[in-house]
Amino acid sequence: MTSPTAMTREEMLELAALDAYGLLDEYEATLYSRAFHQAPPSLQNDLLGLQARIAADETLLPKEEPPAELRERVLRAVSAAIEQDTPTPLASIGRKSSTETIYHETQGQSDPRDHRPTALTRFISANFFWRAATFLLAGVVIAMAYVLTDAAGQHNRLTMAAIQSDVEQVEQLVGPTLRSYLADASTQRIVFTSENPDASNWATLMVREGERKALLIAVGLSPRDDDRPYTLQVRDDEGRVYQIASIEGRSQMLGTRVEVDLLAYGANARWEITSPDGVVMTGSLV
Amino acid sequence: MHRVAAGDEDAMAELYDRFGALVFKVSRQLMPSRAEAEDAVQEVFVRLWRTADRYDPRRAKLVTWVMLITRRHLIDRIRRSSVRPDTSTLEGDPPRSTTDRTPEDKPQDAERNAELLSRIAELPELQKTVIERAYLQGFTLREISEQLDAPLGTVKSALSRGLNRLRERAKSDWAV
Repeated sequence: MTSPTAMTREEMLELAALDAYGLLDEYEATLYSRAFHQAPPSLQNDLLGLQARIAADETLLPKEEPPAELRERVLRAVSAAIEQDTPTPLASIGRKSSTETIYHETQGQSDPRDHRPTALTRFISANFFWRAATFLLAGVVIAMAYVLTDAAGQHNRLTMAAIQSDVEQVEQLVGPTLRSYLADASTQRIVFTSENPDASNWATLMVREGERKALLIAVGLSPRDDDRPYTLQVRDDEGRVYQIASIEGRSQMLGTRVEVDLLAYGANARWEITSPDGVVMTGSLV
Repeated sequence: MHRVAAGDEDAMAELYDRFGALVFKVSRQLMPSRAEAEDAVQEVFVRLWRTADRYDPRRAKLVTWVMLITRRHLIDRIRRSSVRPDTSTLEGDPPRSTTDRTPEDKPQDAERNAELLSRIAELPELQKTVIERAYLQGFTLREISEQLDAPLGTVKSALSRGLNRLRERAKSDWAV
């Protein structure tokens, strides 16, 4: 692997080009990013210019132009996504959403392509969306409550609020994006179990298909006495270890966003949460 | 981009007007059909909105960032569907699925990428293979390194040099 401190100008230019084409993996992209920030301003300018020229270069692209109506469809899809991400009170779950209305308003148009919702809008607009989310969320909350209750017997620092958490409280603990992961049928899960049979650590990493943004929810990763963080890492099929994120310990349930490319590490990758003392939990794709 | 991140619809429209055609062309190049390319464009702009708050103008110009998000999304989409765009020129291709591809897509693929494919065919063997697999088929550099049993650094250099050569040749042809 390329070391950020050892990169020559030529290596930087080479990586800049591949970065502009989106061809670097997460690790290489991070190394390039670090090296970029350490580079002198004149080289940074050269790299920025090179990448912009590559990005805007149409000489290798097909000459086809997008259909005029695509603009409207794109803006509708973004509006629907914005609406979906807006926190929805539990009381309104199951109601017909305005997103759905937007979709049905297109039904009378003459172009049959407009009648065909994309996978995205189809999913967002479906009425069962929030109903399914409710059931899923309830199931997860019950599971979390069980784990927390079990953990509380051994870890008094876990709060009662978390033990008795309802959906909103869970969201307060792990962040408002929980719903979107639970409700997304394409979400993939890596479930972690404790390496120590006497401990009640538990974690799940939820990754939305096609995105590198993932949500890690963990219980039992209490702050260490030395304040050193935990590490989320993955060991690929060949035993190479990639550090994904550093995780600050928290006495309550924690939720943190991390960047993960599930496809980069192979189907049999072994996921680990480690402390400076060793492996705390191991996980695999379920 | 602050306005895009905040969900400002006018800002999103401006972003589309500025980059929509470019995003579409890249999507058209990598997706097996026009319909899938259009779907991909919608997804890309949703992704741009979702990630807008992470855009750092000191790290990349806006066009770079937009195209980076676009290409990453398209590569993810290709890997997810296990459908690799058909380059029709490879010998000893890695195995790939042809599900979801319609017979009528194939001539379109060949036609829309004909110019690019003919340019790629003129490259040295390693550059040609690496570009086809990384740029058009969405394989990671690590996967290609393993497939070819070649060091990762060699793959990176071949890819970078090959893409650079393609751009230079295309520009000189345009200038004639």
